[in-house]
Order: sequence, then structure tokens, then C-alpha cells
Amino acid sequence: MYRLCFIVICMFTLLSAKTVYGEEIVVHKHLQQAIDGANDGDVLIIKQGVYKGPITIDKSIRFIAEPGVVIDGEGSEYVVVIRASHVHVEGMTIRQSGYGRGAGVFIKESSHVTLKNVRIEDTHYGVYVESGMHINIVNNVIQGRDVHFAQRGNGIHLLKTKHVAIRDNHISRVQDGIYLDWAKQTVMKKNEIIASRYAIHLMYAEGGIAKENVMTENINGIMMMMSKQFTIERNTIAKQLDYRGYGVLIYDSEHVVMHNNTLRHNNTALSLQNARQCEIRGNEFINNYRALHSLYENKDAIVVENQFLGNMEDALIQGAPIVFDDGEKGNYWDTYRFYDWNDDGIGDAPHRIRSMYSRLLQRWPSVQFYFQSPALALLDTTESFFAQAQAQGEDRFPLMDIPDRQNERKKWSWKLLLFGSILLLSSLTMLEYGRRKIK
Amino acid sequence: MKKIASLLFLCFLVACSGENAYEPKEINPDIDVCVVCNMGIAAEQYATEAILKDGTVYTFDDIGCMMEWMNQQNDDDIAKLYVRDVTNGEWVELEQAVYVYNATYWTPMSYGVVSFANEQNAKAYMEKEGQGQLWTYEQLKQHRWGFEQ
Repeated sequence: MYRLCFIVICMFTLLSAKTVYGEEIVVHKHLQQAIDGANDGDVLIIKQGVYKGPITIDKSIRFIAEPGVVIDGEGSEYVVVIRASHVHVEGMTIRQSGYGRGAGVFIKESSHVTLKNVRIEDTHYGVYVESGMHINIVNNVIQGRDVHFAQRGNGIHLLKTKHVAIRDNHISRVQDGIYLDWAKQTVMKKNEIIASRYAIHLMYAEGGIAKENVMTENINGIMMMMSKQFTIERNTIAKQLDYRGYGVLIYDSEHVVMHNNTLRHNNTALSLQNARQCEIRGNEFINNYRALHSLYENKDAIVVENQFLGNMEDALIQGAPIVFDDGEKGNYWDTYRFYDWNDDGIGDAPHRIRSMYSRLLQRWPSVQFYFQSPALALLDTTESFFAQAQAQGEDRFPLMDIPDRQNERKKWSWKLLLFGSILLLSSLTMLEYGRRKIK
Repeated sequence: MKKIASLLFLCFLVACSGENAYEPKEINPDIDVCVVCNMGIAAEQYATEAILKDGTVYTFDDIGCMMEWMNQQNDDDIAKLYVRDVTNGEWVELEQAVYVYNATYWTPMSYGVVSFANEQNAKAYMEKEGQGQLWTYEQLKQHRWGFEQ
């Protein structure tokens, strides 16, 4: 009986419990005074209006704005400074930081900070985090100044951070959308980054993932330098069309996994430059000027089960050879011209990366005018017979169909076979029936 | 005839002087890319340049990239090497510049070495940053180049 009573009391306590915050304070003016007067755990509700910055949050408070709240830095270095842990900032517009090192939001040596539904405009850096951990930057809009990218700051800049999550943000017109400098275990998911220099720039980053982001119309999509143990998965990286534009450039980095991304309409979709132990698998390279570029020695890098469709140039290998298969499967190349007589889904002859066209393109870029012309087809075919020794690389197990479609084709082939058999059987039955009737 | 000859001689002199001057070229952030790391040069005041005797100009985004590039070059091909004073962007020859080093300094590739036209600017920078070591070119040459944290 006692045990039952105890359980009932516990359940009642649990059901009636709710998150306990401190006092709820409604703020109409003088933000800094309100913060100074608040205690840890208080919730500050900011009423509509334009407030003068800068402000410094040095307490564990929730700072929630009603619609129409603007904090204007009026050119001061930072607009909102956070120097405490367990801080939640939500819902306002932050604008007009200073130049140089100025930022809309500056978070220093803090942990468990959330920045949500905030609009940051006309600032040098959008959000600058220095030595922070467990920071969430979610669903914000960051729009840089309308000046040349060399004069802009980064959208979100992380310096020596750990466990930062950057999700669902829209970043445009900044120098680099998200800049990671000695940042560890950063998660970047479902962000949209456009019209900037580099969408994501990693310098000495370690661990972490970039997943389902959309990066378009920047100079580079992902610029990875001296970083390691990083995953790039299911991103859409398109229209990096600047003459020096790259979808993804991996420079002097190791243990990078790049899976199931779509890279289309880029100048160069992927460049590997001293990328060690990297796995490039299951990506779509579609309609790029050049799909893959390999420079220096990319030790133990593997490029497998990718699709190369409609690229002006599939690959340019300028350093050591690169591995295009895992011993069983290679990649799908729409330029592959041989057959699969034994129907195992793998082409009967290796796919050689054509070199003559690449060399011509490098020397005379205007040669691209002849792309897919009969003259080039003739050159390719001639080269495939004679230039084995000059091939830049080869895929020993080229796929005969796009990896996803392969299973689908098998599934459909069974259905078609069944349908055909039924049709044949019914025709024969009808013929036999007709023949007997005539008799 | 004399006039034409003098004009030709003048043109010859101008052409010769232009070729041998090996002046640094202005950085264009829309075009210039570091030849070592491929990064676009956005922080122009940290850019460096190497000019070969045939007039080819190579740009670098960080002095560390240029030093790495120099290790793989034939010194006889190099005509001039330039760095910039980060405070005002003035071009200075590599050997005549003054350097300040600290592992925590921000530079585009985090080599932590910053260049100046004179000691006064270098000291002012160190004072502003609160740390750093003053180096001459000889000390710079002894440095073991690597990325700093």
C-alpha cells in the first residue's frame, strides 16, 4: 500500500512539474538596464520597438523578443555580446555593427547558448563565436553588406569551438558563409548559403558533418583546408561558376567522407589536392565544366559508385593516379562506350579517363566549343584504341547503369518478364481457341 | 632621322627599365588566387608576391605559402620577393621587411607571421595585440614553417 502511495505521489509530482525559470520581466526600454537588474534564470520579454545597442548579456537568462524588435548597434563594434552560459536569445532583428572585427552577435567563452529566429543584417560578421561549446545557431537569417566580398566578414565564424550546431540558417552576401577555425565536432545541417565567397570554409577543423545544406552561386561551395575526420553528406552544391570556382575543394586534409551529394553546374565540381584517406562515394556529378580534379598525391583516396553525367570533362588528373574502384565496383560514366555481355552490371572493358581532350582544353579553352561534336567523338574513339599508355587514370569496373537505377532496372525487368509471359500465354491460348473454332 | 633614332633609343630604354624593375602588381581579389593553396586573396594586406626573371608574377595569400613555394624553386629564377606592411598595404622587399610572430596571430593560413615596412609599425602591432616576437629576415629564415594554433 505504502509502495502504491509512493508511486502515485511520484507520478503526480512528475506530471505537475514543469521547467522552472525565474521571474518573467517585460521590457519596454533600456535593454542593458533590464539585463543588469535580472537574475540568473529570468525570462526577459522584449516589447516591440527599436532599441539601442550594444548590449552585453552576462547572466543565464532567456532573452525573447516579440515581433518587431530591433537592436541597432549604430556602428559600435558588437551589437549583442554574450559572455555567460545557458543563454537563450530569440526573435529579434540585430543590425549595424562596426567594421573590422565587428559582429552582430559575439559569443565568448560561453556554453549552452541558443540563438534562434534572429535576423542579422548590415553587420561585418554575423555571429562570431570564440572558445564556446554546445552552441546552437538555429533558423536565423544573416545578410551581409552590399560591398565587395573582400570587405565583408563571415556569416558565422567559429574560433576554437566544440560541439556547435548550425541548422536551418539562411546566409547570403557574406565573405564565407560558415567559417570554422580550429573548430571541433561542428554540425551544419539544412543551411542555405548563397552569393558569398565560400559557402563553408574549414581551416584546421576536426570532426563534424555538413549535411543537407544547399550552397549555390558562391565562388566555392566547400573549401576544406588542413582538416580531418569530416563528413560531407547529401548536400546540394550548384552553380559555383566563377572561373576559379569549385563545388568542393579538399586541400591537405585527411579522413574526409563525401557521400551522396549532388554537384551540378559548377566550374570544377570536386578538387582533391593532397586529400588523404578520403572516400568519395555515391555522389552525382552533373553538367559541370569539370567534374573531378586531382592534384598532388591523394594517398588512399577512393572515388567509387558516383555518377558522371553530362560533364564537359569528367576528370583531370594532374598528380599521382587516383583509385576509381573498390575492386568490385567503379563509377557510372556517361562517356563509357563498351558493353556488358555477361550482364553483371559492370562494363567488360575498363573506362579510361580521356586525356587528349583535357590536354587540348587546358591549352586552348575555346576547344570546349567542340564538346560532343563528331570531331571530338572521332578523337575520343581513336584515342581509346591507341592511347592506353597515356590515359590519366582508369576505372576497372565501370557501372553500366546509375547505381540507384540498377536495382530499379532489375525490379522492372522481372515485372516486364512476368507481364510479357502472361501476354504470350494469353495470345497462345486465344490462338489455340481460334484454331479449334475454325476446325 | 636623328629624332627617330632618339625616339627609338628612348623606347628601348623605357622597355628595358620596365622589364627589369620587377615592381609588385596590385592585388585583385576577384582574380588573384594563391598558387600554393588555391585560396582567393581576400585579405589583401597579407598577400605576398614572387616575380620571376621572365616577368611571371606569382601571388600568395600568406607569407607561409610563399616560403613553402620558395623551398621548391630554383633561386636563380627569382627576381624579386615582396611582402606587405599589414597596417597600410605598402609593398616591401622580403629581405628588408620587419616581421612579428606569434602562434595566435590570425593570418589567412594561420602561419602566425605578419610583415611590416619598419620596426615602428611592427612594435605598434605587437602592442595592440599584447604579444609577439620581433624578427628580422634572418630570424624568419630560421623559422620552422608550420600551421600554428
